[in-house]
Amino acid sequence: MFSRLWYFVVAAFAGVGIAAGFIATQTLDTREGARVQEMLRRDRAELELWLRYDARARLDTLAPMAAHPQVREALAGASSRGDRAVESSAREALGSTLAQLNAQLQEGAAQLLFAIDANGEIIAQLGGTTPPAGAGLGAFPVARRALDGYETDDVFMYGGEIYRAAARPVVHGGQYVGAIIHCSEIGPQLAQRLGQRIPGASLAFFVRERVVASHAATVQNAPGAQMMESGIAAALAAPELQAEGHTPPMPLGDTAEGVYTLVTGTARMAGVGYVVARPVDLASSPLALLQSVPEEIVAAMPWVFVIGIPLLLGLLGLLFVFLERDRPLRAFRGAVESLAAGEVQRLDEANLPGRFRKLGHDVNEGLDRVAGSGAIGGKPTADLDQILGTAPSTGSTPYFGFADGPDEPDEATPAAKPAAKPAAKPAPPAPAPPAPANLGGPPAPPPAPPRPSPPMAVPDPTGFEEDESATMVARVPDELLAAAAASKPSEEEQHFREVFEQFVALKKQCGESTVGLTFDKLATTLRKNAGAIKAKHDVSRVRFTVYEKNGKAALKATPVK
Amino acid sequence: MKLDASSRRAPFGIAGAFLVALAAIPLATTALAGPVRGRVALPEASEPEVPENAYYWNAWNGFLAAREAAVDPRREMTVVLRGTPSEDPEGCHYAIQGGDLSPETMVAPAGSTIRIENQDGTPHELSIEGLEGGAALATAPGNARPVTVPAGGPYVVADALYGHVHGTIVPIDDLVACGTFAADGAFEFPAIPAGNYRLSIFRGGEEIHGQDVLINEGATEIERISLQ
Repeated sequence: MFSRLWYFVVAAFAGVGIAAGFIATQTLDTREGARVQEMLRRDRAELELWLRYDARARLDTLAPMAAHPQVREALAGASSRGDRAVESSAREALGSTLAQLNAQLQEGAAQLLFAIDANGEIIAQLGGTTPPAGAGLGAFPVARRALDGYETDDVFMYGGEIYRAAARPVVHGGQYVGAIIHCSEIGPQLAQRLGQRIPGASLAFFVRERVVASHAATVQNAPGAQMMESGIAAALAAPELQAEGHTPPMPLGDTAEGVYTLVTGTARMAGVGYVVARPVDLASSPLALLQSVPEEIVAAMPWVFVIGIPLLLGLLGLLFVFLERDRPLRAFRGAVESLAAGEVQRLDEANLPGRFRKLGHDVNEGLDRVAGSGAIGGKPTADLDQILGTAPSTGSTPYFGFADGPDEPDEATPAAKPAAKPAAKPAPPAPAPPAPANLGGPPAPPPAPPRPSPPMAVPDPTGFEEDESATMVARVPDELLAAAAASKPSEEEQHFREVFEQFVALKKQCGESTVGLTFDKLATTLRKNAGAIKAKHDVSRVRFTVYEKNGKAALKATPVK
Repeated sequence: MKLDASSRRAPFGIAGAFLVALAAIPLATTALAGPVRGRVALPEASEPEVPENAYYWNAWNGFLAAREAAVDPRREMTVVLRGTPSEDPEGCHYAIQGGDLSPETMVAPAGSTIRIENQDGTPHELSIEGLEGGAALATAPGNARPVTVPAGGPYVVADALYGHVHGTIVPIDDLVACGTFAADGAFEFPAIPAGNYRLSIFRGGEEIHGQDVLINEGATEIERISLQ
C-alpha cells in the first residue's frame, strides 16, 4: 500500500515540482517586469530632475552675461534706435563680447546664443546659420517671457535642431532692453551625459518618429536606438502621452520596455521627447530559467539537500517496494516451493504476509477443491506415495512397500509415514497404461490418452512447480493376487481384480516376477489403503491406477467423492 | 493685381498708339488719396495661455517689475479697406516674423493667391486646415508659402513645429487695401483712390470693428476707434 501510495506521492512531488517551476518562472517574470517598470519610472523622474536642475544651472550661469555692461548698453542702443537699422559695427561688437563671455562658461557654453532687443529682433547671434536681416525671436515663448522680465527656460526647435534654452532679461536704465537666450543642443553628448545618470538604461531623444540622439547602456540586451525608435509611433498615439506627458512602460519587442516622455518645453507640440528603456530579462520557461541562473547561485545551492532529499525519497520508495512486494513475494514463493516440493501439504496461510495470505488461502482452496472433486482433467489429486509411503526400489522387497509382508501393513499408511522424498524429477511417461477401472459405478470414464507426464501428477494451482512423482509404487505379493482372484467379486473387488490384472500384466510387460502375487494379498492391501485414504480425505471411493514407474509396475490411488 | 502698363500695350501702329493714349487719359485723371491714417484704442490684453509643461522655470528677475501683457496690434490685428473689388489689394503682405505670423489674420479675395514669407532664421511648417494643399509643409528662411484662398472660410493656420503660431485666412471679395499697424495702435494705409470705403478691423479671424469712411484726396485722418 505504501509503495503504491508512494508512486502517487512521487507523482505529486513531480507535479508540484513542475507547477513550482512554472509558477516560479511566472512569478520571477512578473517581478522582473515590475522591477523594470519601477526602474523606468525612477529613471524618468531622475532625468526630469536633472533637466530641471540643469535648466536652473544654465539660468544662473547666464546671469553675468545678461548683466554685462557692454551687453546692456548694446541692447539698450538697439532697442531705442527707432526705425533706424542697427549698425553692423554695433552688432559685431556685441557678438564679440558674447563670444568672450560664452567661452568663459567652458563646459556650459552655449552652442547657440542670441542677444535680442526689446522688440525681439536678433542683434547678435553665436552659432547656427546667419539669420536674415531683421529676423527676430520676439514671438517665441521663451523670448517673450524673458522680454517681459522672467528668467525662464524652454526646449524648442531652431534651424532644424533641438535646443534646451535658458533666457534672461537684460535690464538697463530701469527698462527692459532685451534678453539673452542661451541654447544647448540636444545631441549625442547630452544623451551620453544623461545616460550616465541612469546606469543600465538606454536613452534616446526623438523628433516625431525619428531618433536624433541616443545612448545605449552597456548591459546585456540593452535596447538600442533602432529598438527605441520602433516604439515611437505607438507612443505618440498613446493617449497617456498627450494627457500626462509620458506613457506607461511600453514593451519594446520581447526583451525590453521603455517609457516615452515629451520634453518639458514648447517643442513637445512638435512631438519632441525622449525615451528611457531597459532590458527585461524574462525567463519565459522553467528550462530557460535554469539556464539563466548565474554561476554564483549555482555554487551557493545546498546540493546536499537538492540531491540528498530526492535520493532519500527514492530509497524510501525502494524500501516500501521491498517491504510490501519483494519480501512478501519471496515468502510466498518459498511457501509455494515448499508445497511444490512436497514438504507441506498446504500453504501456511497464517504465516503468509499481507495479500499473499489471501492468495495462499485461494491456493489452499484450489487444492482442496481438486482433492475433493477427485480429478480435474482426469488427474488424481492424491497419490499412493503420500498415502502408503515410498515404494521399495528393489525387487526383493515386498509389494506396496511392506518389507515384512502383509503382516505389517500399518507402516505403509500415510498417517504413519508420509512421503518424504521430493518428487523433483518427473517419472518417464508410461507406455500407454490401461484405462483405470471405475470404482464408483457406471458409466466408467473413457480411458485417458497417453500423457508425457505421470497420470497421478497433482496440478499446481500456483503454477510455480508441478509435482509429478507423488505416487506410491509397491510390489504386490503373489499370494495376495491369488487370494484376491479366488474371492467372489463385488464392485470393489471387481475394481481390485481389474487392477490386479492390469498390475500383473504390467509387471510381466516390465519383465518383473509375479511369483507370490495373488489377488487376495493385493485386494487386502488395496482395501486397507482405500480405507485410509477415505478417512483422510473424507471420500467415499478410491480408485487405483496401474502405471509404469522406473521400468516397474506401480499403483496410484485417487480419492473420489 | 497691380496694373501693368506693358501688359496693356496695344498693337503696334499709329492707331494703336492713339487708342492707348485715349485709354490713358482717364487713368491719369484718377487722383490717388494721400495717406490714410487712424488709431485704435487697444483693448486690455489677457494673459497669454501657457500650455502645461512649457518650461521648468519662469521666475521674475527680481530687479524690475515684469511687463504687463499688452496687445500687439502689429500681429494681432488687421485693418482693411473694402470697396470696389480689386484684383490686387494694396499693402497686403503676410509673413512669419519673429516667430509668429504677421499679422495673424490674413485677408484676401477668394480665388486669389497669397504668399506667406518666412522672414525668420528657422524653418516653419505651416498647415492650413480645411484647405486643399494645406498640409504642413516646411518653408525655409527666406522662402514663401503660397496659398490659394478659396471662398468660404475662415481657414485656420498652424505651425507643426511651433505650437504658439496661430493664424487665420479670411476670404474677402471686396478687399481694396490692407493697413499697417504700429505698436501703439496707430495704423496707416497706402495711397488709394479717393472714394467711399468701409474700414474693417479683424482680430483672431473675426471682424471686431467696421465703419464707413470717406477717403478724400490728400491725407485722411480717421477718428480714434474704440474697440469693444
